[in-house]
Amino acid sequence: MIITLEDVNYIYNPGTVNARQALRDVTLTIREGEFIALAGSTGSGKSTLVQILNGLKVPTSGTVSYDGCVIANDRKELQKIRCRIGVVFQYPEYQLFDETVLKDVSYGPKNKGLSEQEALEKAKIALQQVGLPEETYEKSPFDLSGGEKRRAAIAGILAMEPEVLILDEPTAGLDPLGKEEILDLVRRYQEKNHSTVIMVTHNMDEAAEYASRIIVMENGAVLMDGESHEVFSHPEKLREAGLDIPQAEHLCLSLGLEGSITIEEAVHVICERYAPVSQ
Amino acid sequence: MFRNITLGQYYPVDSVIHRLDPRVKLLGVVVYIAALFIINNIWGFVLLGGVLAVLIGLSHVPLGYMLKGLRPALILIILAVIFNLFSGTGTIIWKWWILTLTYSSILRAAFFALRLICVILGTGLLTYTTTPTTLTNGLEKVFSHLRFIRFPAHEIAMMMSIALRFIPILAEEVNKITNAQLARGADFETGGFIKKAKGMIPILIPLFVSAFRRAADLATAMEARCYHGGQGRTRLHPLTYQKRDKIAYLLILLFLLAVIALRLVMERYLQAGRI
Repeated sequence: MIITLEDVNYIYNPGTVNARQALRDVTLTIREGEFIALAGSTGSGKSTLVQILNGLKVPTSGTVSYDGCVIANDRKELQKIRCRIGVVFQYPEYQLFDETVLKDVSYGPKNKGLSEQEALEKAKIALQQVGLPEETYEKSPFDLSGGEKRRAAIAGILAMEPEVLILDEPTAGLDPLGKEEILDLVRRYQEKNHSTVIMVTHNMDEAAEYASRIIVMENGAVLMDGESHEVFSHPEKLREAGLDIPQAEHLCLSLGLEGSITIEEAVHVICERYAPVSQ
Repeated sequence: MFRNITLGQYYPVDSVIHRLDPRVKLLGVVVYIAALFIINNIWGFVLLGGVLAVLIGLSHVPLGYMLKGLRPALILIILAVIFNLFSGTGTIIWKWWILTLTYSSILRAAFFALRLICVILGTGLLTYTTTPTTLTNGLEKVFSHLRFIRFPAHEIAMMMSIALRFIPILAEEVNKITNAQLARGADFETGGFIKKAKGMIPILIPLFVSAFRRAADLATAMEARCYHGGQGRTRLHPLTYQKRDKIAYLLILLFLLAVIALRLVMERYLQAGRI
């Protein structure tokens, strides 16, 4: 599914003292199969943009179209869109509610209109995808560990088989190993289904490592939008948005080497520079 | 759907009314409500309405914003008016089936509606111009005079301020959870009552879980800062009376006297008229 935003503006509490413009003339095209990192400091409008993308919020002005069709502000239509675009919100474990993990994960597919049996099937597949062992299926979601809860909540979205998967800071509050597990699971999902993934993050190392395109927001507007090497070649501009370049790039720049943003690239460049051919 | 949880939210502008000591405003509201029940004729309402209009003008809170507070009470007001309209005694001016309309009932219904509107606007003025924290500080100070009967003023004020503080947090939480479940294709709006009520479960359970978690966190945070109740606790900004507060007390007293005098005079006058 291709999502196109044109001159989208969003204002909270319009016409009151508390009015605040969260998005300013955002124009974006999200193509099929992209892995996008959406970056920006707190209050830059990332979360609002996410809610606009899946129809939870309707823009104050401007249009959002899916595969070229502008969706009317109609409850049924919006609900359908929400089933095609899965959003994993920040701290998604707080949305768990059902008696067992399996039932909770099947909540989404059931809302999509699948039968009980089909929904449970989808739930099992999703739980396998996130790597939760079978003995957890009948446990209460509140008895899981933090990382397991997060994975169960993500499974709740994956079970709906969304064409576009949006994750709002999926690694917040997890330990390093948990972070890596979640990100690898997202990457595996993306490679297997060729679906679009949009990941909101502050962490430029994660962005460099996983995303192919980076959108930088500042003060409600799109500051930068491009291929990750391109975006990371403007450190001054990133700093302006309250962000930084990845650690690997820092290291390479201080060694006088350019153009690498992931650890793998950095290792390669550094080896080439300091230990050429000899191996 | 839950985005409009408002409980007399503070309207952040600067005005004389905003700057008044909360104790003055609390007494003002008590006197004002008492006055509403003292007055029993149209001139009383004219006086009261005039005072209210001046106060709203001084507060810099837009009238439209004040009137919005009436909307939730509209049904209550209409019901009260209907019941009062048809339950009067005296000269009947209109009759249909068991419904009778009399002069006294019309008058009573009108007064009842006016009283309700005035109560809402008056108390609204208090909450629009006073932050919840200041308000509870004021209450604590007022009720601490009841120390001699062991009235737990500090504990009650603390509970109130925590409860008030948590309303926006929980509203925000409801909002977040609702969004998360909507993103999972939840539908809260179609279906009958039972289906709608069942549809709330995915919101209510996470909400309770998070409320308990937040309560436990808050308790830990308070203990970590050595909170042990009100004994020996001092304030960063102790409430002190300014000149304007003293003037306000005087005006409140004058207002109360005026209302009482008006009622006595009018009663005398009406009696005289009857004779």
